[in-house]
Amino acid sequence: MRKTSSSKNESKSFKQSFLKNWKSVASVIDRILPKPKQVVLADGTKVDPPRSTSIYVSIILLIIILYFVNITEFNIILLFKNFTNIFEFTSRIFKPDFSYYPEVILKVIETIRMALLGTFVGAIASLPVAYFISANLHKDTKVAMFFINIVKASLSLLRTFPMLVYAQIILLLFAAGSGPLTGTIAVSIFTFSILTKMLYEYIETLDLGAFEAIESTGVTKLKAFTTAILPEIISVYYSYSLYCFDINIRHSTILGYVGAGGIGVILKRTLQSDNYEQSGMILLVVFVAILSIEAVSKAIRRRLA
Amino acid sequence: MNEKHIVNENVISQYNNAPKMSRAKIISFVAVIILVLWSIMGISFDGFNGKGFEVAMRLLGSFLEPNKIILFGDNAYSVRVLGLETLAIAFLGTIFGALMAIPIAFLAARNIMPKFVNLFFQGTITGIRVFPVFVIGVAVIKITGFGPFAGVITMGITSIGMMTKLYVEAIEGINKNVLEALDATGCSTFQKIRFGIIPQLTAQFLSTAIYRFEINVKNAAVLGLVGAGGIGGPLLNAISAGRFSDASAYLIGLGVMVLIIEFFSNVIREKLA
Repeated sequence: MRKTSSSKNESKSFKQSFLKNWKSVASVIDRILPKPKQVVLADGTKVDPPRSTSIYVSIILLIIILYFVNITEFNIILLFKNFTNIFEFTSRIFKPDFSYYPEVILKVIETIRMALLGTFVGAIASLPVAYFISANLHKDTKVAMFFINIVKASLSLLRTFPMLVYAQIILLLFAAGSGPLTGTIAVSIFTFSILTKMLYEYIETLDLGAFEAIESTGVTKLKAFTTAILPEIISVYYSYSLYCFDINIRHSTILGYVGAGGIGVILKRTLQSDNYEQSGMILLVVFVAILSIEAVSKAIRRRLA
Repeated sequence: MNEKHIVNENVISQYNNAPKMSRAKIISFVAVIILVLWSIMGISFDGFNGKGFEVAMRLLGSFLEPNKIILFGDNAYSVRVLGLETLAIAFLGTIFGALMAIPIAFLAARNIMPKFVNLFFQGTITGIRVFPVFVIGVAVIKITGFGPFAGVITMGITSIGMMTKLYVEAIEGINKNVLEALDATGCSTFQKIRFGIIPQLTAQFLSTAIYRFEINVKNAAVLGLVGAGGIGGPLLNAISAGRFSDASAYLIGLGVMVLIIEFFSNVIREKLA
């Protein structure tokens, strides 16, 4: 039993011991700090009011903030002094250049295609992986649990890096001019990493009664999964995928900045060459596209729920 | 074939009554397939060449040997200095964003403000959320010039969207009975805010801020693009210039930092919830 304890359990026990130690540290701090004044009630009972730690917390916070302010060269005066600079930028960006429209539409469509295909591939890949690494389905085999923990750890490592880093790395692997392909792969890696996590966490909260009942009739685990669990998770799976699509659309506007295709490519070009009216047009189209896709996906997700 | 094993009539009838593929399902299935085919047609797959495999091998090889000077050193391009800068940007950016999000959240809350006011501010939030990060970055750099200070302000502005959304949810979920009870004891408006509203909101506000801090550290790579400081710029430069062992050192630094912060953020948020 103890040997099969998963990394999740281990991390949980680590968490508990951390909290326990923290409590003892906190009690030491309590002893160091001066006691607040005792309050004597009308009937003579003495009451110790709880210590207020807020002043110490704020002092520590203030020290950290000052240190960080020093590092980042934070300068609020500069912010107010140069604030008018932004009006030149915004006044031009809010005057979109409508003649730029055709090129923008093409690139927006490319962005949507990248996000769509990337989400599709990532979503297709995530369902079987989520099945294989849901701890509650495989807790009877120790070897499987071992591999599950390894896969989960590498997935959480995969999630720590932003999509942009993947795009930049993948860009090196292909010939020049394959930006959209790179973007699609980056989107699918990102989708895979977060969707798998969402799915296995959802499966692990499910009641396995039906699954175990069907498994006990002698069918394989996979068959029991497709009969008992899949119908339960399928609508959640669709709505999570749509949610990922929403995120991906927004993120893939950035991907072009490193050359990975989509709207970001021309947005970068117009911003760098000071064609802010054209940037304004791009932003307008992106705004409309993202909001309408979000509205559609929200409507579908509401019907799925 | 299976029928002869099934003895019970009820089972057969249940089996026949099982939900079939409805029209909506078929339509959505076909729609998804068409959309996917449409996207495949738009993306060229000609980029595959022999070079890719070679680069991948070289990449993997150097990722296993991170640049030790960058990973453990103390110069201006080391993980320690840049990581601390990233942390500082994310921290101050989160505080800056939270300070701006709180008033906006109160203005955008449906249970406090009249309808036209909160509609206006809800629209503002959506606008901020949809704007790509580096557009905000470019605008901010016009004010502050290049450097980590620009990163702080950009982080702050991009944080507003999500933070306000969650703050609004917290404010809309306030239990008004508490305020009525305080009213009954004869509290002044200030006392009502101090003992009735603030205690209800602090936990959720803090946990949102901590969650956003986690995201901000993760997004540090994006800021490097526009020259707004942090570990992102050197990391992306190292990758695109093919200095993979440097990139590996930065990635390890970023990964360890993010995992540690994630751990602490989970612990604290679990306690706050």
